[in-house]
Amino acid sequence: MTLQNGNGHNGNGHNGSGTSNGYKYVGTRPVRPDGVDKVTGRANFGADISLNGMIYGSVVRSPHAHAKIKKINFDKALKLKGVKAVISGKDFPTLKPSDKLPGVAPLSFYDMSRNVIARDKVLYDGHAIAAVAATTQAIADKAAKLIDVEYKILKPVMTAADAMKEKAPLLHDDLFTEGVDPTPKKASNIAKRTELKLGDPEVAMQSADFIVEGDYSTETVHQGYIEPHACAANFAQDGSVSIWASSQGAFMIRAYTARLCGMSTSKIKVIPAEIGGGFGGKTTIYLEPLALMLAKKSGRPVKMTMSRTEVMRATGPTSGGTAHVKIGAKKDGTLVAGTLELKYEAGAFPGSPVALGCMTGFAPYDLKDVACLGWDVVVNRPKAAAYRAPGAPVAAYAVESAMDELAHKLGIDPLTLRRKNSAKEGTKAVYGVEFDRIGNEDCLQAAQKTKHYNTPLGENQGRGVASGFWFNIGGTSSAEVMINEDGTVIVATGSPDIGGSRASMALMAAEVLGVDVSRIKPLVADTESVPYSDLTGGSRVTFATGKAVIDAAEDAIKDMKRRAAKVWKVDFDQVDWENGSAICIENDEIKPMSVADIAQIAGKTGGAISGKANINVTKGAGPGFGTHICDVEVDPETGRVTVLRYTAIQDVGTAIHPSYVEGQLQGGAAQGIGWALNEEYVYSKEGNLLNTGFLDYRVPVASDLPMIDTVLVEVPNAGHPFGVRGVGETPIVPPLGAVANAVSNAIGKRMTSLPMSPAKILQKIDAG
Amino acid sequence: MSKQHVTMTVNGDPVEVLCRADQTLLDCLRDEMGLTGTKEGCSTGDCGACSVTVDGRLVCACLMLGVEAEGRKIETIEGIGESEELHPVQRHFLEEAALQCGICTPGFIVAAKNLLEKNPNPTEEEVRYWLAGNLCRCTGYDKIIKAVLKAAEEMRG
Amino acid sequence: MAKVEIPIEVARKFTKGVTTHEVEASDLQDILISLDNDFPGIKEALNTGLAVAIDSSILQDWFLEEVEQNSKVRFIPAIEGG
Repeated sequence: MTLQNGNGHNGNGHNGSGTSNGYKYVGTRPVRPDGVDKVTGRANFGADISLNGMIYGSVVRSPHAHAKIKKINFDKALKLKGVKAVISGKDFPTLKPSDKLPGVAPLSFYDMSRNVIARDKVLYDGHAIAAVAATTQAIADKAAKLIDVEYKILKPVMTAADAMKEKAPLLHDDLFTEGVDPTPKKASNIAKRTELKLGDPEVAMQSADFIVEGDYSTETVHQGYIEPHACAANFAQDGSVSIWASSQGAFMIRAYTARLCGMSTSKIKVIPAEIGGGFGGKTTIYLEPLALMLAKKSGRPVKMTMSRTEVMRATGPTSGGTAHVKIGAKKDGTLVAGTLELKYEAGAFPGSPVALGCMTGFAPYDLKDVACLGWDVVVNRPKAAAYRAPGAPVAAYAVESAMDELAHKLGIDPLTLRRKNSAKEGTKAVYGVEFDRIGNEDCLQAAQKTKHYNTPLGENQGRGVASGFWFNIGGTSSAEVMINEDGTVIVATGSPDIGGSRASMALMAAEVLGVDVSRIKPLVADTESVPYSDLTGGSRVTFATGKAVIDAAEDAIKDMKRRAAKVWKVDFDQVDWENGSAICIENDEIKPMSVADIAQIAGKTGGAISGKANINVTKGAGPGFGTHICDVEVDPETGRVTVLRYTAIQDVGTAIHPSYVEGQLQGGAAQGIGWALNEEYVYSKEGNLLNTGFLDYRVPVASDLPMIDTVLVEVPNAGHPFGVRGVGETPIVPPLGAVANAVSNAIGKRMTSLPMSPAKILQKIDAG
Repeated sequence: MSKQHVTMTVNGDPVEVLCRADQTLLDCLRDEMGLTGTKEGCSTGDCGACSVTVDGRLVCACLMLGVEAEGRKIETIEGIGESEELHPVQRHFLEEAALQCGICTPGFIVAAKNLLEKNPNPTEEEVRYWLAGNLCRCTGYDKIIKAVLKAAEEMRG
Repeated sequence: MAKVEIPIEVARKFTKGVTTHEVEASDLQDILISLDNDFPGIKEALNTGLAVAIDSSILQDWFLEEVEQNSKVRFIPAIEGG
């Protein structure tokens, strides 16, 4: 294991000056290849596309949280000059409940289709009902307002607790709880029950000297990407479609749009725009099928962009939820049992990440007797989308709060208590898998050694620590490494770059090829230029797409060695690859041929040179563990919390581009701090979202935060050639607990509800 | 709605545009002039992605009408940096890795450059408060603040 | 013999709640077939919505992966990402 204190390094390493890890390029910090376009305004994001003859779309959204659509009347809208097309749910194929994406996580196209455009029922404030395209955005927006919709208003149900009640209004009359036997005959709002268990926690709990138990609650929060969803679609007379869109996966857009519009994949080409933040929220589609249908009906390219209000009302959020946690321990701090029950709000359609909450909550701890029970519950809110380590933060918040309480009860340092019980190599997690070498304990140890943790606190100040875990995944990725005539290199992948992955692809290719990273140009290709790749998410790109790039680079090397062998008239196995050149083994009189030398005569030796790799990385994605430390000061008069100091420590495997790895830790921490302190969806009694903008949905701003220190613990992942572990998601798991523990310790009372607004904190202080 | 004829200076060049009376400066820049470097994140002045300067003053282009720009000097991200050389703020953003997705970056650079023109030697706190009107969801601001402080140091010489 | 663990919900429905089984099999398809012989219908339940862990490796997308003697095979909830 090596440690990198993230704050001394700067933009050096531009020339691959070498690193302490033994690599020439991996671990350096060159300027990102797409950087100049992004600091000069040249980079084209979703809303920046402009097409010949383009018209503009606008969406009619439900003002009601729960209602039947009785009638939609387009007459007035169609009379408006400039209106070119209108659509409603009737323009799309009717899908059946059995229409699912085959695979491990069977995504329901039936639900997705009804989420993208409502059919007979609206299920949340902001649910799309119809859309219109017109020659200007202003006319389209005006026309949208002229579309008359008649509703039969139904009673909304807004929280999991209410939705689970016997007589709760039902969102779907065809939803029957999965995971209970026998499957109920009566429809309900409970979509699924998930149970995980190791040993017998009930019996084991009886041997505890101390038990902590508590209820914790969180609200719906949004990913809060700064770029609203945007796309443009063109529909040609031969039925071929082009879609320009910002998303976490161009192939994802192609597959989902094809299914929802009843088209074949080969008819749809998706060109990825730069993506202005996703965090999981752009792993699904909203506008693309609407733009496609409007383009089809109008015969014109159609551009659609969401307003911030639309983003908040109708996209993304992650589930709010409640947790009941119970942990038992011996006097010496040894944990004997843990139980966790989670109820997550899925939004209007099933699919909250509650099972992942169950799997992750206790993952940092070695517990032989542990059980987690999860409930996936539909409510009249937007359908939950993935958000960075989906499901894990809420579960970790409850468990880490309970661990803090336990540390107090036992009089043991909270990091020492965590170390004493930390999951390590061979520990079996509640979902049944034994960990390989993991960096959990290394992070706790590193945390304990930080200057931060050993600095005394002042009055009204508190310190909180928390751990977090995320699996990380692999998946299907493709890459092509193309050698240009002058020996420069193009690395094409199908993985949208959401946080600097082009830089890490270039570095890995440079390392394998032995070509300077400045001579490598990575690009994100469209759906017709590289083979299929899974979307960017699950902290998989640097790991899995990186592996594809490595394989493709090795394939290109093989080709170049073959060319050299041909020129030298030696056997292929007489050629080796060293420092970016082919060398002839056992004959050092033959001058090595560099990539540029080989590229120059490529035509004479068989044509253009490239290497490719299409892989599915099914295993080896090393899990990520992190520990965060947070100091806060609470103003006892106003309840306002100031975050004074923050350190994020994480096992990142090998940091390919350490600056962007630090950036993941810092960004995840900031989002988690927002989740803990400010952010929440506020609904009226009628189920209307009240805070639809950044003014009152308050994400952290620069003056809310201190510098976020990072410690990169590097326990290389044996499942990757360079030891890469996914790093993007773990950092949002610990902050909720770390901040809550800090606030609780500052005021001397346990905070059990997020966000910890000043009013809630004052109430707690005043409660005596 | 009929369009109005508006004359302004954009990044040093005289520009004439026709814009609707209700069209924001942001929409004029993006849709009428093709200057899409200025981004829209909220259209309510809360995110700062559309930061531009008007006669040297930092504004959200979404909160100003195009017609209000009559006779004024507008500077956008496209006007920052020389043809073959980046402005120090841009360069330090790259060297510090102060951007991840990059959607907020133009706004931050316009705002930060404006700060350094007014205050060449800001404290960390002053930078944080000046940039509090620009939202970034990726970076946690850490590297952005460092980039601005480094640019300030370099520009002071 | 591979040691197979199946989720509680599936066990309740097909195996009277028994979650651990020993199966003679050389790959994951063999395991499914063998389990389905003993517990008709379980194959389909295990084939949808579940990832597989073979010892310490989690396989999101699985089909014919080989299973060694004494391997521990667990069917676990699928993992998605953000």
